[in-house]
Amino acid sequence: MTIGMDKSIEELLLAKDRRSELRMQRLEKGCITLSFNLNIPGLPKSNESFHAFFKTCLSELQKYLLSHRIVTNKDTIHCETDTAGDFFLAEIIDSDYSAIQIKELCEIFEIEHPLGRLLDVDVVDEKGELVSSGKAKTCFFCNEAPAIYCMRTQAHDYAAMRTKIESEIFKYQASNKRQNICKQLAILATQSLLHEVALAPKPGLVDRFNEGSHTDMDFSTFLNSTAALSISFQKIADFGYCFSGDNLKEALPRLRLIGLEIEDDMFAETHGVNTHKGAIFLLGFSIFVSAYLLSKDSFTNDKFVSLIQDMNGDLVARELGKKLDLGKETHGEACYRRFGKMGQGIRGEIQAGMPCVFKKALPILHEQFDTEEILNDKILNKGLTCALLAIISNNDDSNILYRKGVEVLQKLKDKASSCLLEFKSEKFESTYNDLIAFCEEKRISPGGSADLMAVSYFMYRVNRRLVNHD
Amino acid sequence: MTPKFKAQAGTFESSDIMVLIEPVDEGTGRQVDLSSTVMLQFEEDIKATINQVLDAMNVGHVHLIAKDKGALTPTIKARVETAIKRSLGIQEGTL
Repeated sequence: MTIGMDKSIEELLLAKDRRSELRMQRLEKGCITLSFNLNIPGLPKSNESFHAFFKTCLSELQKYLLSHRIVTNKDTIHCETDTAGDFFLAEIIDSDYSAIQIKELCEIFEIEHPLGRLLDVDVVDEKGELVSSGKAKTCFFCNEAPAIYCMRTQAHDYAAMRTKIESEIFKYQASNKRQNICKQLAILATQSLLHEVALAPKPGLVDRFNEGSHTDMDFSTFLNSTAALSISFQKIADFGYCFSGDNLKEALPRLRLIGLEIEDDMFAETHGVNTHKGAIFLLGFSIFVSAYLLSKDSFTNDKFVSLIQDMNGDLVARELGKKLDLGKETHGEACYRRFGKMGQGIRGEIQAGMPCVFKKALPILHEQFDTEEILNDKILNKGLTCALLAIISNNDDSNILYRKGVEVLQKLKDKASSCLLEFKSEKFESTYNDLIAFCEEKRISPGGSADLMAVSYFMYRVNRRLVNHD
Repeated sequence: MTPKFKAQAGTFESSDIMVLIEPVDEGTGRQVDLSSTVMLQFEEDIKATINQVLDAMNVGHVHLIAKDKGALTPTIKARVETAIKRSLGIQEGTL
């Protein structure tokens, strides 16, 4: 007598019964209910990738509803995964919209979403009727017939449909991941510049309280400049994330072009004062290479260093050894001619794979920050000061070398080393004040070291926030 | 086999069908009332599926009311089967 029921169908329908029951409970209060699920043909209805996609879309839907001032009652939310797949159900709190208007808005959400045909937002009115606008969705697979027609006539092979759906979901999630990582890289780069300039007191450098050895710029100049830089960081990150050439060197002309554009933006905001040229150069490379490695899920500091070196090759010989044009000798060129290896400046640091960042500053930042849950001002001040001192004591800042010569540079490095030795002792304050007084007296500002400190903080945050350490 | 009790199976959720069974006197024959969101294209198809289950279960005299929200054939078969079993008193549950 029995015709027999497939076990999986039975479980599927039991799950539907439970969903209906949950909706009925909410209906007793006379509320409009809204549910959300994915349209997944075949079984299983959910897996890891479907579930993650569901979560992403649910969050998008909730923001969309809220933007139209349609509010779901948090206490009534039911969200779980069963045989019928991932399912969200909630009551709508008194809304200016009728059930049919909410359904229409949800249809717009589905239409505007790149994978909207996989999404099913159902609205049930106060009387328990499923609201329908009567519009038929087109089939996700063939894009021709109405979906219900293809489903009922089993027009397409389940395995082929699932393969297509999984690949489209993968693409969608990959694009979300790209946007998220690039956004975060831009945020972290901007933060690193802000925390660098805010750090106080600093020897010779502009900080939140004074101008150090500078007369043409102050704290506000740096804030204005940082704002100008911040809007372009995401562009560099996108370029690195999407770069698909065989050799990163192929990216250099475009990277330089973006850099030159940012310099224009900077000068426009600082009335022609160079606040961040070095930072643009260092952070530009760092954002680009970080994004490139993160896109391949293969970020490590070692790989970063080796790519930075590959990209720049014999940068010192190429750019400082021979003149790019016949114009006036630049400070960097003169410094290299007069001081040789010691006068390689920032190009030498890059060519060596940024040892000040990776060998000197990063270990300090890990020691100072790793155990802290939130990096507040006090903690940042201590850790970044320590990192800055480690960099100054090792960095042959070509700006100081060019202006003041070897002796002053060596004295600066020695004084920074003393501060570092006394960092945990009572004598630190007086030793540090001595270094600050020295910079003031000699009118020097270790700006190159400050740039490297900003990059160190950026690399630290990238490691902590964006890199999977499992 | 002739149903003895009022019974139902299914829900009003999308991609499901609600099936209600009303007992009728022996000799009345079958009456199938269907409403569906895809009535135009699939009325005959859904009715054929329902009748197929009724045939298989040897149910000749029944009033069956079905409200379809786009259910696929296996779902329709399963919901009709459960509703009939309940109306015959051989399966628990009314929903």
